[in-house]
Amino acid sequence: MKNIDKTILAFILLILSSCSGLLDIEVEGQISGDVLKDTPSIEQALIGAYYSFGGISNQDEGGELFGGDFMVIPTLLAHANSLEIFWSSVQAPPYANFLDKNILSTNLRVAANWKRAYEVINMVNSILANIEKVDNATDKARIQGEAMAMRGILYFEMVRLWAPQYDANGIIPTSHEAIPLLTSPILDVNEIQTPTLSTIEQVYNQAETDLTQASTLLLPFGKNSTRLSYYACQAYLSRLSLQKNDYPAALVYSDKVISSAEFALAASPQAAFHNTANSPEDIFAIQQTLANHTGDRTTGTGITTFYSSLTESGLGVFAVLKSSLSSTSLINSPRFSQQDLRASIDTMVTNNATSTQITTAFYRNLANNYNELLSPAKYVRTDHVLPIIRLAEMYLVRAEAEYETNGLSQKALDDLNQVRTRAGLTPVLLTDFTNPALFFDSLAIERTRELLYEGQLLHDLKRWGGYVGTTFNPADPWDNKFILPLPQSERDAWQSGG
Amino acid sequence: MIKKLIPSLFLALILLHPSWAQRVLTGRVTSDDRPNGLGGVVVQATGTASSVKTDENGNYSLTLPDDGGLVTFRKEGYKTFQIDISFQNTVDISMEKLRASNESVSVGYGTQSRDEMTGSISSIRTDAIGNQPVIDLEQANQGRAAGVFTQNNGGKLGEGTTVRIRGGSSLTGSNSPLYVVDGVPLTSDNQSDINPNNIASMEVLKDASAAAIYGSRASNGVILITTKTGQSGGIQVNADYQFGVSQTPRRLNLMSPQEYNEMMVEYTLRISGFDDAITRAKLTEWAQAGTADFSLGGKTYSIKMPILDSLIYNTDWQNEIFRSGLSHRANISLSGGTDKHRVFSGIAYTQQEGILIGNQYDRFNGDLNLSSKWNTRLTSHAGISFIHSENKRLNEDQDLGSPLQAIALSPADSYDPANAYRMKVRSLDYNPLTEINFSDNLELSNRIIGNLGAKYAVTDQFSLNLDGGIDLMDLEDIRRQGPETLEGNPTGFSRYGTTHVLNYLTNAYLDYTTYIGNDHHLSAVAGSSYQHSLSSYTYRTARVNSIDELQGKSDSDPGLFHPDVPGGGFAFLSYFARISYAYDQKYLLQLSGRVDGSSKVGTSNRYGYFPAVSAGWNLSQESFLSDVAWLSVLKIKASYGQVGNTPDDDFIYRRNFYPVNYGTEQGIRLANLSNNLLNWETTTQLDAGIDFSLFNDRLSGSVGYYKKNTDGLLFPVPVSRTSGFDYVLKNNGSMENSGIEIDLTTVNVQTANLYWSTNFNLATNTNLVSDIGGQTLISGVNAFIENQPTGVFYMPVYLGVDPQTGAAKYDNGIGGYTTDYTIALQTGRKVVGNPNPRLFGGMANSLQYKNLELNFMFQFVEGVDKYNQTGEYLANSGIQLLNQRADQVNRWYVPGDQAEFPVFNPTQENTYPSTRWLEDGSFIRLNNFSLSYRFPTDQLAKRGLSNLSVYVGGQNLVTFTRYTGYDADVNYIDPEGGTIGANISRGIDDFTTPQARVFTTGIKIGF
Repeated sequence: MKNIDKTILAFILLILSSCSGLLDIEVEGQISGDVLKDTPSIEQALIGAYYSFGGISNQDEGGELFGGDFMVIPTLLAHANSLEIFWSSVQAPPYANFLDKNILSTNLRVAANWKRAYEVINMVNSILANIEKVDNATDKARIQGEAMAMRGILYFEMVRLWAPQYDANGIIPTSHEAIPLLTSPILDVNEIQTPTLSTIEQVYNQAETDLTQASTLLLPFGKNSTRLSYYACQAYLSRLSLQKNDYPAALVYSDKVISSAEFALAASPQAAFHNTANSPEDIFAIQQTLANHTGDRTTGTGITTFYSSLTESGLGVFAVLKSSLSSTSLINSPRFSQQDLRASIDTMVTNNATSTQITTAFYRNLANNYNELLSPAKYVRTDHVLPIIRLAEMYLVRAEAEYETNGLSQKALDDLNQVRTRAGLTPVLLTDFTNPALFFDSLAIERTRELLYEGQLLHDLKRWGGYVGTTFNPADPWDNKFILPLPQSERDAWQSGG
Repeated sequence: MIKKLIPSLFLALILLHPSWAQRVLTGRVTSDDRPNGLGGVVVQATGTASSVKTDENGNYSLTLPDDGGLVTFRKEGYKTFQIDISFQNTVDISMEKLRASNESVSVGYGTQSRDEMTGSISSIRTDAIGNQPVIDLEQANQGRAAGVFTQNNGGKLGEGTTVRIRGGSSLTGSNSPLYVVDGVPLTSDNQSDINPNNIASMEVLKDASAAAIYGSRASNGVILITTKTGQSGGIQVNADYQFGVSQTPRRLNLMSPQEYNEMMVEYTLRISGFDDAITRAKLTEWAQAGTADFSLGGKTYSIKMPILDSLIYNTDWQNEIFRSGLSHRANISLSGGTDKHRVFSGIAYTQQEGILIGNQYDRFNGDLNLSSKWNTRLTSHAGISFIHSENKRLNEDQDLGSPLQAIALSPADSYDPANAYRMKVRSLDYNPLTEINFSDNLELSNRIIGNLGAKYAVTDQFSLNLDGGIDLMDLEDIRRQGPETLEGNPTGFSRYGTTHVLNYLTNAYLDYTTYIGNDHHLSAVAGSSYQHSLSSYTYRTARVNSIDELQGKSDSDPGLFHPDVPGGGFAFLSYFARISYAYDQKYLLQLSGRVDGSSKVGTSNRYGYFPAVSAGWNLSQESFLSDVAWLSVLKIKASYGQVGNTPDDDFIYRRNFYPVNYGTEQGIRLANLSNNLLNWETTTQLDAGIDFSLFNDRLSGSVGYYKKNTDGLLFPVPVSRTSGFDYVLKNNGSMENSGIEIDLTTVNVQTANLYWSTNFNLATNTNLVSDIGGQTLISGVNAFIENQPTGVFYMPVYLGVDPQTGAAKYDNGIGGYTTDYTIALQTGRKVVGNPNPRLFGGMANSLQYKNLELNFMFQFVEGVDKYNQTGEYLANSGIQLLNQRADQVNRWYVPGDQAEFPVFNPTQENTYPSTRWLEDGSFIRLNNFSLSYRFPTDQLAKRGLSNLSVYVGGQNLVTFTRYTGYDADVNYIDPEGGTIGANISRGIDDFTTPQARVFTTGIKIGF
């Protein structure tokens, strides 16, 4: 009987013997749990953040943020429907809202960009929260710098899209609420809270702090042809300072980039846009390859899908009215002259044309088959880099900042002429400007021409107190119709306590 | 067997002897387990109304009507005993308890006798399965157990079934029952490829009390399958062969070439703006002439339609794609053994051709079961099944390459086999015959299910059990699309995928059973279980026209796409126990439960507790009912408990990333946030029922009621997008299921030569999504809506045709109608139907007349709606000029027409989803029929045979339904939709293949 008892006892022990490790399952190919634990994994998370930062396509998503929407949405908001631009609302209906200046809070692209931006910010916040796990100090500085740069750029781009223009003396004060600021990661669904809205001032401060710290961290790494670098931070800081109308700061930042001599203008305006790798003037560009690119024809997303009407890459959704390019009546017309390389048009392209045959700035919009409608030749291929900030803009920033800080000078003229002569125009001379205020007009129109359809015009008009579209309304920079609304889905989630 | 049974059991019924004198018979009944006396035994003078029951000590005293004849002793769970008492006044007998027979039921980690059972368990008769020409065991179970609803996903071979026990209980997780084969829980949701011939028994654990022993995976019920083991004493060899012919059960009535061409004419005229010239009679005339001559607005027109000169063929596309599929099945088994060792082995080969061209399924099964009794204490068992199958599959139902899509092609067109089967006239239409002839779509599967175990009886009461099992599966998915096909154009396309699953488990448990005194029967099981499963997936594709060429490509080849696909895996560490107590066989109590630890839930909820309690009262054992001779069993039972459902995704509780590329660098992107609080979905179930057996067991059965409340439903909850996500999965909803189940078995006739019994079952189910936080989730025409059943049909209401314009009218939701579908969609959508049946069941009949045996089974499903999406396409407005159902000629032609169907609109689709296509999906079906003849044993013995029978039969022979599509019993599941898609998109027939009507004939031989 004793033996029997022992057998049973042993058996019971066998039954109860367990170790919690039995429930820890690891599976090949599964990237799961606390993944950000060492340098390689944090580096991979950073690349993943770039992936989303560039709006790379993923099933029905794609083309958000720098994959196109940060260029497309402000462009549509800044130009007049049917006088300047046609948008084929059948192929990409949500965008018609922007061209109509009637942005519904339920707009799908508003919600998609909002989500993508916070997806990147959350990933960046995760990286920063785990930055101490990067063992090597060099790698640590680089990863931390790039992550902060990304967050700073996003907060800046978001605040100028989702909030009224920053202007201490504007109709709306900078203490006005803007967007939520999140600087620590959300890891678990149970940590998700209803966020509070930070003020315009707070968001700008965060962006500026992030970019400044990133600059310091990235300084030793110089120019980086695929990632965010010290120069990208400086360039973005110049953009940010300009947006705040802080000209002295913009002058300093733009000068840092230009005087480094790390960048040079591409040979022609077109050459700045048809590159499988960064052109000499690209300070930061979204990297694309044939396999990994932002948006595509099949999902109808991404800037190439819209701008290009070539069968190989786009749908020609975005069509430019030819007459608008040289119009003298439209208030924001680039007023291109005949010799301007940035206005050269190829109307003879055929339906079988490929992007290598496009050598002009515009070509006949093949989707609409109508000579009066054009496709811009920027962003025509999905395996080309998407320039985000380039040296030409820095010259224009420095010219404007110099002029606004120190008055009209040869220095400002030289910078403006860098861009003009590259475009095939004659240089302007001091003697051309009997009234120095005329220099501003010349500079403003040069910005419109050089950065046309790159999404900068809306923001320029806002900081200049300009008139958007075709009507003269001094309140435009603060008008809600030019500001993206908080997505309805976001408000609904707050209501239900999510 | 039947031959012997009838005379020995029932002969006495018709042998009444009128002249015996009255006397009293006394005695005592005992049994092995009740040596001190067995109560409640019905003692009956056979064939008379005179009967008594034994008292608590087993004593009885029966007044006999005469001085001779037979007396029967009967008690459920014991072998019925009959004795000739002509010359005796005292009879003491010992009754043999039925352990290994049908009366002893598998309950998970052991068996229980039916009379001591308190849970709700249905046993499915497996002897009826063997003759059915089905691939899936599930199909054979249709209509055979109350509360088990089995629906075919479609009629393509190997397409599988959807099984719901007492309704679904999850929105985002699996609603399929847990399948346990010889103790091994399977990882896949079905047991389709097990050889149906080798099943010894199947039990369906339905209530919480029965299922709680399987804890966190039991909320959708558990199906226990026990395969055959050998019998001691000699060797028995059985062989059978079956031949079958499959056909489509129905054909749709589609337009003739003339009617189609009339539509072409109408298309031409309407698109050119000559609407006013059209009349139905004129269209007929013009279609024949090929020219439309008419006057309109003072002008005369003569419009020539040259395409009509080409559309001269008469192709019956249903003839082109449907065929008579032949099937063969051969099965041979060997069983036998000695007192110590018993063996069962079998091999089977099945080959079936589908009713659609290109569809074929081949399977080989090999099984071996060994059981050994090493000494009085130690027994062991070992079993292994090997399954190899090859499935020549067809494309998804919605794919233009799916054969059934051919019915939408023009009947006035034809194709050219010499030109890759392309259409002769409408050359842009895709002919599925091109796909069938120039592509391969093959699934190869190898699977091994094995188990090994030993039982050691430490004492008579205590035994220790150790067993383990594996389920190993390898799948190869091979697809090639030739350059001639849509997808393969222009260079061909090849895909090779693999799936590898390794699932193993170990169980250790002890069982204890004892009698304390004579009245207290206590039994208990307690133990632990560990299960571990890993799966891995790979695939590679390239635009080449051969699998060999694809396989020859190196990983660095730029033309090769071969992503890293994350694998899956899970583990369960579980402790379970069941204590059953019976007092005097009258009062029964059972506690059961399981503690489940799982790798699938959040770390803070890693262990779940699933307890249940049940009780029963055998009223028929009570003295006050012992005199009621017509009542042999009356039991009231009830149970209450909790069971769980595991999240579908293996790692959803933690953060998951997947690889992405930015430029040429590889990174990772977050797929989901973690949910530390992720928990099981918990179902609390109440069950109450009555078991009865009346009139000498001529009428027996059970009636039960259940109510299930599922809480903590995992549901996508909208969250602030500042998290980077729109929705996150949280345990945030609840659902209810309730219903009644009735199971009746009657012996209608039992005479010397004729025996007829009927099994009837019926179940109701009311399903309700009771709380999902006020959200509505819509997918196509189905939705999850609070206070509505799962996946209700939610769409605009069709209100007929506007006689003036011919437009389709829809309810606008605000008291009027609209012809604008967008408005109907915005304001007029309503809950209009339910894809879940209100009532379902079956009726199986078995008749034996001498050596003939007839079995037939009806299945019925009532109170269910079906969305006829095939019909929606076959009434297309004409943008694509698809062929249409013949009744569409009754469309609107001219203003004033009181037409059945809307106008043919060449520029705009006007057959948007609406109630126009929602139909009653109820049906009654003669699901199964077989007539067999068994040769007399005495003749066979001379030839060395032990049995020989031949049969003819059929499957899915006649269906009574109002449904107008091919088959009301289909449920198309889009593989892209995942689990949530399968749960929400219910009751849709979208070019879904009907189930075959099969005629079979076969022979069975035993040596």
